Amino acid sequence: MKLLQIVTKQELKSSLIAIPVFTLILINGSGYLLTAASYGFLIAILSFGWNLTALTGEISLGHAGFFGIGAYVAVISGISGINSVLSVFIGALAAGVYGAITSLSFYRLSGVGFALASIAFSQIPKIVAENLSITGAGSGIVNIKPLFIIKSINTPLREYIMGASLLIILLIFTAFAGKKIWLKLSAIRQNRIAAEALGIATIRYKQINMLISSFIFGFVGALWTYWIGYINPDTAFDLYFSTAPLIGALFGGRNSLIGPIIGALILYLSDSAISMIFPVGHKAVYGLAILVTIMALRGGIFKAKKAII
Amino acid sequence: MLSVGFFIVLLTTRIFNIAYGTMALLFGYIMWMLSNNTSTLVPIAIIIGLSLIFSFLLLPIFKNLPEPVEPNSIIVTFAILLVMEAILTYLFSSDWRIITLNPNYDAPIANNIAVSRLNAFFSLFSVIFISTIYLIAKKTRIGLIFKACIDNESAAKRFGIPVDLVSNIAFIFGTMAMAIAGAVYGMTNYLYPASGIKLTMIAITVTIIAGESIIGILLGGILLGIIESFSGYFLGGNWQDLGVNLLIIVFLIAKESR
Repeated sequence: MKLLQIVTKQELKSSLIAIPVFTLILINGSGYLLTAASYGFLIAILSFGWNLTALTGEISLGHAGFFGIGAYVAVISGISGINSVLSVFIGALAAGVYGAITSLSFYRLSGVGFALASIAFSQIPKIVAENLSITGAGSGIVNIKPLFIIKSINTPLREYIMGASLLIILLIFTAFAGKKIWLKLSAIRQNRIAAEALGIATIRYKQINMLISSFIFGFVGALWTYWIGYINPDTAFDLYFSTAPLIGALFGGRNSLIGPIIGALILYLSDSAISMIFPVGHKAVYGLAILVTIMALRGGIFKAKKAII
Repeated sequence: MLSVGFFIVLLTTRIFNIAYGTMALLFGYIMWMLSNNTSTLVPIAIIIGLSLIFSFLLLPIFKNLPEPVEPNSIIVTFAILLVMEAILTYLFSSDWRIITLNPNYDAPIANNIAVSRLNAFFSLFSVIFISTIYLIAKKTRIGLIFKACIDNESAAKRFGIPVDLVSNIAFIFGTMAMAIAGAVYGMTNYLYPASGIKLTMIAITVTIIAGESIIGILLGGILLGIIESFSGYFLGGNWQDLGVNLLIIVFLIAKESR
């Protein structure tokens, strides 16, 4: 019942369709389909993480910075001899710390100011990564060993890690479902001054949300880099990792918990299908999806008068 | 020119155009395609003509943005940025392009002055454009009407000022400034689809520094140039962008603290 307080019936119905579909793909799928589903999970986790910041009313355009920090710190820790699983959490923690610094620095900013500052702040680690020898400068680091090497079992384990991570994150957050914190976040988003007048520590909640959000981005960034086996500033800090989660959250509905996940999964699979036809310009699909979401489906697909799904 | 265009559109329409640099870049590419033209007037006429068409295409999107306009304009223009970047990559590939000017226009305007004729022409045009905007804003009744719309839109409406028409005109002028800036940028810099965001950051930085004045934009542009040069000189060319980003952060925080 607690889950129902933050998830609408329509969202639950969609989840009931989407989750079995993706489970079937993961069980029976292979090659491109399996990889696409796993990337879908990756973007879904990011959408969920991005939405935590959006729940306080702020729109961040610089979350790619946290993703990149998580990826770089994890790889460098791994290279320096730290256990690779532990290095993923070190990367996530580093991203969380940077998120906390971002939030502390910009606690006065909101709206456009916050969005712009987030872009500028996300560029700083990229510039640093482009210029240090420890990060491999512009060329980056190649031949990164995968997180798990299970030679004896012919299972593409890495493809399942993203799905498992999404499930764990969802389980953790549904444990908080129905708690007062969601009402407080909603109050901050709708009227920050009124929320403050009611005694809600708006700045503290924003900072905590940003810390958790950036930790999730760092965690996924670290997993991603072990997955693909190389890293360079252009790929790790790609604007795509800021925009794709944003679009997923907008498309699914940014005021809900499950909506961003479903939105991201639908969009990513559509993008994957279109990228087979237009390998160069498939990012335009994301752009068009935002345009349609903002101009036509103003509250996301679940709030649209005629539901798409 | 780049910042003036951004500034005019922001003040009169409240649209924070993240795709601004990529839109300017489009005109840089158009200039690249026209660079073999034998006349100076033809490229500039085409650039201005296309900028008018472009502004008429964008107006219906920008005019129908749901409230709150500012954050929604960021998201929508971000979407436009993605679409345009994909189109530019599709049309021109990710390769870096440089305009090779017709020798006649590439020739310096005088001995020992390394400025091409076409570049000088565009620069002069830019100075005239900015001066005209400044004089209109400060010395004419039209400037007062614009100011009324910016200060209090609903009051301006009640006094019978056609606010929508005024913001449409401002938008067209802003787009024109952007197009010319993009063309000039294309003649002196390498063009590649992802470089648009850099131009947007320049326009945003200068606008943030400028506050609400055209003179401020000129001073902001100069300050930005100095900081870029200093960070490049002391830290190396690769660290130049660090100065720009830190400048944005410092100004945003300082502005909010006032």
